[in-house]
Amino acid sequence: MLAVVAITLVASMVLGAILLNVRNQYTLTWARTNSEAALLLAEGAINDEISYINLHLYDANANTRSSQNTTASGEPFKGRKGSISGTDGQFWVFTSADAAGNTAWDGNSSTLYITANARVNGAWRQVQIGGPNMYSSIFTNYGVFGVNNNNGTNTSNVILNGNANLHCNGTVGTNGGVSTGTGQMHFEHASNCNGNGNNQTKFVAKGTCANKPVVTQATSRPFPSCTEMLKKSCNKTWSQLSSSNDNSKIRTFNSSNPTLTSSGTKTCGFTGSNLNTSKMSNCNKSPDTKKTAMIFPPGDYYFTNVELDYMSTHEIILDDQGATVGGNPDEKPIRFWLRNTSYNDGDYISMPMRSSKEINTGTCDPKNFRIFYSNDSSNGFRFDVSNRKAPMNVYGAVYAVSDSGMSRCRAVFVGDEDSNECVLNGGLIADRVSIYGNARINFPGNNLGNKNDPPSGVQYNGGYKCRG
Amino acid sequence: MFGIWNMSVNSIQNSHEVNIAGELARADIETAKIQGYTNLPYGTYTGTVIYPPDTAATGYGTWTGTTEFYDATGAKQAIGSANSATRYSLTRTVTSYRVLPVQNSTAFSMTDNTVRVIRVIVNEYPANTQLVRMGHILVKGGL
Repeated sequence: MLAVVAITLVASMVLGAILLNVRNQYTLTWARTNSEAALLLAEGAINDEISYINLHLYDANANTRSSQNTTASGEPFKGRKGSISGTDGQFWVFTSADAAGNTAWDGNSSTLYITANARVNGAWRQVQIGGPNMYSSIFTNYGVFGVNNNNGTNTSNVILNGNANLHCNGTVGTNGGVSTGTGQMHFEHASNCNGNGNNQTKFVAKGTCANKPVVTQATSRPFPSCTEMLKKSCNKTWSQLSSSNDNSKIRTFNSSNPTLTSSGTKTCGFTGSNLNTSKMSNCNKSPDTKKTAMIFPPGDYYFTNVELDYMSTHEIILDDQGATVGGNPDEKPIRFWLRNTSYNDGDYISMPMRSSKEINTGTCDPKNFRIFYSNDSSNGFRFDVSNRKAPMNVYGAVYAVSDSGMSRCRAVFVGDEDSNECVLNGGLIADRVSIYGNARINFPGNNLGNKNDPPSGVQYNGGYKCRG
Repeated sequence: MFGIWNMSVNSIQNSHEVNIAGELARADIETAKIQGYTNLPYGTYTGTVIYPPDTAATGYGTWTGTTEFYDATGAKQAIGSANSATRYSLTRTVTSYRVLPVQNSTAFSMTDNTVRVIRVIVNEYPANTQLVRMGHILVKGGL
């Protein structure tokens, strides 16, 4: 009898132990499944925050540009609380300037971290992305965009073509109408964002762009003004930039032993904010072309007026490599900021331009030259080949979007009708775009982006970490 | 003792089911991630279609995938409806928010800020009781 009891007891203990082990395995299986679900939810929360930032990136209040690194009362984690309805769990997501999550992101810097915590039935996972260069450049989406800011309607024509041809191998978009004379407009893609829904025919699809899709977006595609761009890029107002800029750093070659180096060049004594041909009277000649040269190292230049005529004896050198200032390791662009709230006759560059990279390596780089045009002039900023009798190639991007109350900023390309094209190897975003004569936009896509550009949004750029 | 043994067997079976169901759900979402934000199917628009349409509209697009069936080992069955070997069914939906509906249609187009939410539910079969449900969010330029 005792033996039976003992055997039963031992067998029960063994079975009990097995049951405990099995139940433990069951719990672990659920824990693992919930943990996987929490990881997917946390990663989804990161994406949700990217979308949130991109919707609010140009909010006036920096605190609303992203989810803040503060903990709401009663919540276990910092940040904005959310969930995916119809699934299990909740997430909390926030941005910060540091990986530890202690310093709030200022809503401006391209260095930021996004951290998401997710809980699914008790399982917790944390995901973080971030680091430097989280912005995508505002110039990498469109070859040409007619913004049509500040006129209150979407019916005005904002891309105007005369009697010659405009070619663009990137996407061309507009918030307004498109007008063409007898010239043809050759686009790879077109994005119609004018709110009328049925104006695809505004884009004239001919030649190489035949049968390419015209995407119609019913709402306007907003772009921030140059004033907002200045704030985003330099954290300055126009007034501050007018008194604190890099104009005094404009250089020229030495009269003796000129080379494209620090020792072979000198500052040219530039003063004021009018950049015109007469300001080159103190400049010396390039050693190779023998042309009088004005050199712009990387920096932010402030001008109220730019009038650079075509002269066969003069040239502009954009020192994108920083060859005359000891290098440019941060790839800072050469930025022309133009601001004049008094009506003027327009601004233009017809003078030949080269870059130090082109001189030293034979290749041109479109990501290092930017013109931000905010002059209250209906004549706008133009690249003009009409007096050159030769094609003009510009490498860079132009941004001309007005403030409220100003005339719509305008960018003008003036080719001639003798096949001398005005060519922008880059991108163009302007309230209005006008083409006279033959013009071409060679859109380089992501190669146009500079990490110092104002952003069109935040995107995943590495720095993935996972905990839990 | 028989009761304890029976409980152990049931727990082992339950662990197996949760394990398989979790893997099916996770793998399905990973597949959607690989397929990519722009390549996921659109489905149809639900909500008020205003003209001109506006991204501020509260409507959304929903695509519901065909229910898939899996056997006891988690292998996908090449069948359109459950059979005697079926042990799991999987349904997925892709819901797209901040989209632009097309007038007089249930079609829509995406914008730069469209958010695509994936939901996957795995049920036990034939009881059709829910075992696991998982979700994920995809955006342009995201993870």
